[in-house]
Amino acid sequence: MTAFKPIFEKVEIDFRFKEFIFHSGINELDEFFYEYSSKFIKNGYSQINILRNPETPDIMGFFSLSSSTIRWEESLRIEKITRYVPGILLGMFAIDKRFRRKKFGSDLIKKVINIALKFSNEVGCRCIFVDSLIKSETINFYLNMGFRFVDIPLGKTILKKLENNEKIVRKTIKMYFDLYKIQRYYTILNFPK
Amino acid sequence: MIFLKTEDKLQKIKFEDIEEPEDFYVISDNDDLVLTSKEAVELLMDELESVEYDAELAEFYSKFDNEIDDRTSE
Repeated sequence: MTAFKPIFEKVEIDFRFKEFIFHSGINELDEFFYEYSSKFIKNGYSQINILRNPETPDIMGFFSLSSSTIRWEESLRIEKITRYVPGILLGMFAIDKRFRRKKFGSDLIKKVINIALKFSNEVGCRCIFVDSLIKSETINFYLNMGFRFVDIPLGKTILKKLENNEKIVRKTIKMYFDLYKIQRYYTILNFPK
Repeated sequence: MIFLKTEDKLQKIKFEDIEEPEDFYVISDNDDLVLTSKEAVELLMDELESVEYDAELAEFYSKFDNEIDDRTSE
């Protein structure tokens, strides 16, 4: 394969998806990319970023971002100044089969965090949320990238079951990245309870 | 891959440049966006309210400047 310097590109509304080549091998993601991405952008449901070869139609990976929140049932009577934690949902994320295991996925995650940091300067946005597949390799990857479990008791249970090779019914678990971990200004302040 | 014990994993959380998973993809949904357990909410909010600046993690992410190296030939 000829050497090239990949570039990030935010997909605009007139992007011609079908003129590009992307195959993640996951039908739902490939279908989303080719059939639904433009509709999500047009309707303002998601914004899409791609990593691509600037000289060919090859796309190495893409992700979609939407606003989201983690909240809790009112019946729990939790006394906090907020009733939800605002953030960004990493909705869809995939690497083309030809470009796996080359750390382009890490680059895409860094890009997600880069975008979220900028966004959080203008709009309340504390975290990035993502659904991790329940596989040791995948969960370890996110933990090492600074993500944590949204539901900590559930996360501990899942980790123990993975260690013991026990059957796990669910396929994914929600994780979050706290942007304050990498924003010095905010973390020196005292948090209001 | 070294398999850390559950508590070690949750305590350690020390960034390192690990290998990406083979089936590295995300299809997120709305599940688990509403917590139903008081314990889960309190633990999450405790984490958020006691978060500390992580210089190592910040340095890792600050190195990212949208420049991607060509690794296709590796």
